[in-house]
Amino acid sequence: MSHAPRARDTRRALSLAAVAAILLSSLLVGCGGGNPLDNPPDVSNDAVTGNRKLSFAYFQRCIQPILVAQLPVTLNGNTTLNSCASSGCHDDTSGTGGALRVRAGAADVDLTDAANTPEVIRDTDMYRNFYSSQGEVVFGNALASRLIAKPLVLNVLHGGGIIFDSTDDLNVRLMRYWIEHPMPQGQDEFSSAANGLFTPADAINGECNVE
Amino acid sequence: MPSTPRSAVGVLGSLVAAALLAGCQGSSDSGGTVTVQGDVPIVYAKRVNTLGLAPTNGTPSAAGGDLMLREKSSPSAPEHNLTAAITQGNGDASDPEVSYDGKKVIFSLRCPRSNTATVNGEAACTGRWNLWEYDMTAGGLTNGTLRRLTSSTQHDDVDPAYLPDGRGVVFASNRQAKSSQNQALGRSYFALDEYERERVLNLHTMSADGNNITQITFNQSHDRNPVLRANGDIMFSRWEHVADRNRFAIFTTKPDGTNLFVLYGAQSPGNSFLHPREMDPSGPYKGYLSSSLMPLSGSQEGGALMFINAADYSEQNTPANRTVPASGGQAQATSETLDTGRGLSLNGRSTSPYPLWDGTNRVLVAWHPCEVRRGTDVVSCTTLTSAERERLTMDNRPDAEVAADELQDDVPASYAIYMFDPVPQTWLIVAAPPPGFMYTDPVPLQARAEPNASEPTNVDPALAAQDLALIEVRSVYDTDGLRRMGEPMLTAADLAPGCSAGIATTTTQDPADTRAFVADLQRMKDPADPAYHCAPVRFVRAVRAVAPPASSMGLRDVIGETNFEQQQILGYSVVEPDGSFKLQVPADVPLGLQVVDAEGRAFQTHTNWIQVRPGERRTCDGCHSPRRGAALNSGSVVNAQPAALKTALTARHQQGETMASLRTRLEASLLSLQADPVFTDVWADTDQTGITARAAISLRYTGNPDPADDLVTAAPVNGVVNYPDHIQPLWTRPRGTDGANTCVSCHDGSTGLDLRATTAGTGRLASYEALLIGEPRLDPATGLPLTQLRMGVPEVVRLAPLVETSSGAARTAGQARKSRLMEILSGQTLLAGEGARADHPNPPETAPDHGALLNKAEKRLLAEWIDLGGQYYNDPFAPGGGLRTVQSLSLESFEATVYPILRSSCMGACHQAGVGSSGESDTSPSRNRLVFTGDAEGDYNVSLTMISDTCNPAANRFLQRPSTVPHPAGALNQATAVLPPDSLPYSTIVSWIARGCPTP
Repeated sequence: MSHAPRARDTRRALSLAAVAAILLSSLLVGCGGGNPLDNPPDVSNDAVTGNRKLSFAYFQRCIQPILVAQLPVTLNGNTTLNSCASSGCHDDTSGTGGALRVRAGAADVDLTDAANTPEVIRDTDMYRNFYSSQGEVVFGNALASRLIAKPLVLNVLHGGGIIFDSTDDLNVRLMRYWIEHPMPQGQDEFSSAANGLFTPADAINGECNVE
Repeated sequence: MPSTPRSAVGVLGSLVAAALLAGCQGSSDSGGTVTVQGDVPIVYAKRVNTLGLAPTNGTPSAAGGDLMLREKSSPSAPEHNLTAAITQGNGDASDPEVSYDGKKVIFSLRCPRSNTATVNGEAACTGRWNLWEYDMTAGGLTNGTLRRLTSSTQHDDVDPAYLPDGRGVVFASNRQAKSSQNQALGRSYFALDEYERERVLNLHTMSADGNNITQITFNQSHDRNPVLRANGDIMFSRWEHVADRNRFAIFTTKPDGTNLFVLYGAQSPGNSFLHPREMDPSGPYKGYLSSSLMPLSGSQEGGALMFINAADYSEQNTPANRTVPASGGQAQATSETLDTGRGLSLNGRSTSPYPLWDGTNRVLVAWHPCEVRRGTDVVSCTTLTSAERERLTMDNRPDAEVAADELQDDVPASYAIYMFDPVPQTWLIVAAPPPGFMYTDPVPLQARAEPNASEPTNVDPALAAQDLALIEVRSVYDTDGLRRMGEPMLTAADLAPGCSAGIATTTTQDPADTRAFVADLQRMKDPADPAYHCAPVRFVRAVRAVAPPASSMGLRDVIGETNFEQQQILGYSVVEPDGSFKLQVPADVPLGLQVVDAEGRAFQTHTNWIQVRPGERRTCDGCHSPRRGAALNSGSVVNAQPAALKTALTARHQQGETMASLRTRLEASLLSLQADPVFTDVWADTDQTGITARAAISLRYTGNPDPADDLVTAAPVNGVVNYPDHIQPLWTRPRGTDGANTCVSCHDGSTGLDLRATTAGTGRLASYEALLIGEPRLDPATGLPLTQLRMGVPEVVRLAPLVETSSGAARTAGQARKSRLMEILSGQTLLAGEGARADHPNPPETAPDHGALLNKAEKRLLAEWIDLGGQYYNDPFAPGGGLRTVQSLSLESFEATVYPILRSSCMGACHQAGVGSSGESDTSPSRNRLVFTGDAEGDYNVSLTMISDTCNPAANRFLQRPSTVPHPAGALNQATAVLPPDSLPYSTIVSWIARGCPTP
C-alpha cells in the first residue's frame, strides 16, 4: 500500500534519478548547439492549416448534388434508396444526423451575377449547406474528414449506415478532390482559383475534376 | 492491470546503458528518410515532490513550484527558471503547452497575493491558479515576455492548450461559467465533484486575449488535460464517477462542446487514463495515443506509459471492424512493466508523456525510480529482499501492520525528465530535479502541424434560444458485445406470454460488423410478427444530475447511505417498436438516459453523464452501441414499412426516418418529455385480420384509468424523490381490511425488517437505513459478526441490502431490477441474484401476496427512487435535510488545527479514493464518501459533509465515528478508539467545530 507522501518525510539520499542525472550529465557535457528554436534541418513541419477555405463553386456544382442524390444503400442483401438530405438523416429541419445539416431545396446561386456578393451568398441556403459540409472536413486529411469517413464507416459511427462501398466510388472521389484542393492561403471560398478545379478551368461551365 | 514485478535494475540499467551508447545522439535511417534525433529545447514544471498529485486532485499546489526552460533536451544544457520573479519561491506552476509555431508557451501559475510581483502594473498574484503565457517570438528562449491571460481571485484555471488558427485557448477551470448559474431546480451554486471534495473542473474556452470565457463541458467530476487532435477535436480525460464507477477515460469533443463522445478507456484494463496525446501522424504510430495509466490515487499521478491504438480499437480487445485483429488496443510502451495500480512499482512510475512529432517517435516523459523508506533512509527497491518485496506488494495487509513496518512505500516521487525511444527502448536523462522537487509535464519547444481549425457545429437556433437540444437514439437494441441492452439483462419475468426471447436476433451480414448476431429490428417493428409483442423496452427516462453544492455542510446526511449523488427525473418518452426515441432535452446539463420496462424499472444504470450544447442535434446508434460502425436501424431496415403497420403513418414515412423520427415529425409535441410513462399502441393496424396491438400502459402517479392504480400518498414534485416524503409513506399507508396488509403492521420491529417511521441514531428514518444497509452476517458457530480485510481495513461482512446501491453490480443493471426489495414487491425474479434471495427469502406463504401489495403508481415511484440510487433526499436543500451554508469554519483554520490530525490518523487505506484498479472498484458506500487525497481544500470540503451540528460537535459523524469502537466497523477487537474522546486531537476537533456555533 502506497501512502500519500508526508511533509515530515526527510530524504536521506538522493533519488536514483538524481544520481543518474549527475552521472549522465558529466558524460554529455558539450552536446547541443545551434539555434535552440530550430528543428533538426531535415525534420519538416507542415504548414499552418488554419483559416483555409474550400471552394464554394466546386461545392455547389459537384458536392451538393451528392448530398441530395438518391443513393442506393445495400444492407443484408436488400437495397434501398436514401439521400443524405432525407428527413431521417441530415435534413436541416427534422434530421438529427449530427453536425452535417443539409437543405435539400437549396437553390443554386448564380455566381456570374455581380449582385451575388459574398455577403449575399453567405445568406443563402446553398451556403449553409457549404458551411456545414466544410465543417465536417479535416484540411489536409480527406479520409479523416467526417464528410467521407462517415458514409464509408471508416472506423467511425454512422447512424445512416454504409453509403459508399469504397474510396473508388465517384462520389467519394469528388468529395476527396474538393477537400484536397482548398483555396490558396489567405483567399476566401469564392476565390477564382476554383476555376482550376474544373475542366476546362471554368467554375461555371467546366466538368468537376476528380483527380 | 496486474503486472509482474521485475527488478528496478532493469529500467535503471537501460537508462545508463542507453546513455552510454547514445552519447550525444546521432542519426538514423528510417524508411529512406534520414532523421536526426536532435536535442530540442523543452519546458517543464518544477514542483515540490510532496505535492498531492492524483487524478482526483484538479488543482493541487504547494509553494516552491516554477516553470523551467532547458535550452536543450540534455542534462548539460542551461536551465532557466521562467517564473521565479513572479512566484518568488511561494508559488506553483504546471501544465505548460506550446503553440503550434513553437514560440509561445501557455501554462498555469498560482502565487499568493502577498507576493510583490507585478505584471502590466498590477499585482501579478491572485492566490488562485491563472493562465499565463511566455512569448519567445521576439526575445528568444530566455528573453521572452510573460503575460497573464486570466486573473481570477475566486477560481482556478489550469491545463491550457492552444486552439488552432488563433482561436484562443481551451482549459480546465472550476469557474463553472454556465453550470454554476444553471443548477438543477433553478438554483445557482458551485458544484463539488462526486466525492464532494473539490469544485468541479470542466473545460472552458476563451479567445486569445482572455475574453469570452465559455464553458463547453458539463461533467459532474473533473474534465482534465485537454489537448487538440490533428482533426481539430479536443481530446481530454474525463472522470466518470457515478456511484462505484470511478475512473478516467479519454473523451473527445469539438471545440464548441458539441459531439462529445468517449474515445477510449471506459471499458479497458486499468483505472485512469490521464495526459492523452496523439502520436506523430506521419510516422509508424499514426492513429496512436500516448497516455499515462494510473490508479485513482496513491501514486502521485504515476503509472505506466501506454501506447493506445485508438484508430483501430475503441477499447482493449474491441476492434473497430473485422479487418482488425480481435486482440489489441493498449500496451505498455516500455519493455519493463510499470504498475498501473497502487502499491510498490518495482520499475518506477512515469507520468505526463509527450510524444514528439519530429520524425523520431521519441517521447519526453517524467519518470521516477522505485524507492522506499527503510527507517529514516531512502533506499532503492533494488536493495529489497524478495520477502520484503512480497511484503510491500501485498495489498491487504492490516493498516496497523503497515504502520509498524520499518519499510514504508511512501517516498515522494522525484520525477525526472527523460527522452524515451520506444524502438530501441532507450531512456536518456534530460533533467533531474534538485532534492525535494519533481520535474513533470515536459513539453518540447518544437513547431508542429497546426490542428484542423473546425468551424462550430450548425445548431438549431430555435432550440438554442430555449437552451434545448435534440437527441435521437436510432434503436436501443443496437448494443455492443457487452450486450448492455441485450438478452442478458432480461429474465423470464420480462417475457410476454408466447415469447421465448425478449429481443429477436439475426445474424449480421455487414462484413465489418464485429458482432455475431444483432437485434432483428425488421421483425420487432412488424405487428404481424410475434417479436413485436415481446420487445421489453417501453420508455426512456431522462434524469439530470443534482450537483453537490460547495460551501455547504451536512451534505452526506442529506444524500444518505448510497454511493450515488442526487438526481432529478426530467421526464419520460415512449420507445418505439424499432427501439428508437427522439426527444428534446435541456442543453448544457449532465444528463442520463435510462430505458425502462413496462413497470417503470430501468434496464441499465447510466454510469456516465452525457451532454448536448444548445441547439445541438445528436444521434446515437443505440444504447451502449459499438462505437464504430454502421447503425442497425439504417438503410433497408429503417426504410422497411411492414404491411401490418397503420398506413396512415407509413404512407408519410420519409427516407431514413426511424419510427420515432416519423412520429415526432408528425406530432412535434411528442418531442417534449412527459411527466408520466404512458403508452398506447399507435402502430399496429388492428383492422387487419390477426393483427393485435400491444396493451396500453399507464403508470401515472394519479389519473390512471383505474383509480386503484393511483398514488394516495404524496407524489414527487419536479421529479425529485425524497425518501421521507415519498417512500416512507408507502410503508405506513393503510392497506387491506382494517389495515391488515399495511407494511408496518408486520414490519414493526418485532422481528426482521422494521419499516416504521421511527428515527435512528443518525437522525434519519430507521426504515431507510434498514433497507440500504445489510445486516451483519453472523458466524453460525459463534453468533458473532463475520469480518474480513479489504485493502487492509477490517470490515463487517454484511448481508445483501434490500436496496442495491452499487452501480456496477449485475453488469450495471438498473438499480431497481437488481434490488431484492423490488423483486419481493413485484413478485418477480429479476436480477437481484441468488445471494440476495438467500439473504432475503420470499415472504412465507402465510404472508400477504407481496407482489400485489403496491399498486402500479406505487411500484413506479419505488422503482424511480431505487433507480436514482436510493438517496435520502434528492434535493440538497430539501427543508428536512438540514444542509447549512458554511460561513465561519474556514479552510485556513481547518488546515491549521484539524488537518494535521487527519493526516496522521485517517489517511491510511480507510479513506483513500478508488481502491483497486478497475472502473467499478469498490462497492462499499463508506469508501465513496469520506475520501481524503492529501489536497487540503478537497479534504476540508469532504470533512464538512460529515458535520451537521456545530453546536453539538460530538454528535457529528465526523467525530462520533472515530471516537467510538469499533471503527472501522470490522475491527471488533479494537480496544481504543482511533480518536479517543479524552485525547487532545479529539478536543481540538471539538473546538474547531464549535467555532461554527451557532453560525457555521
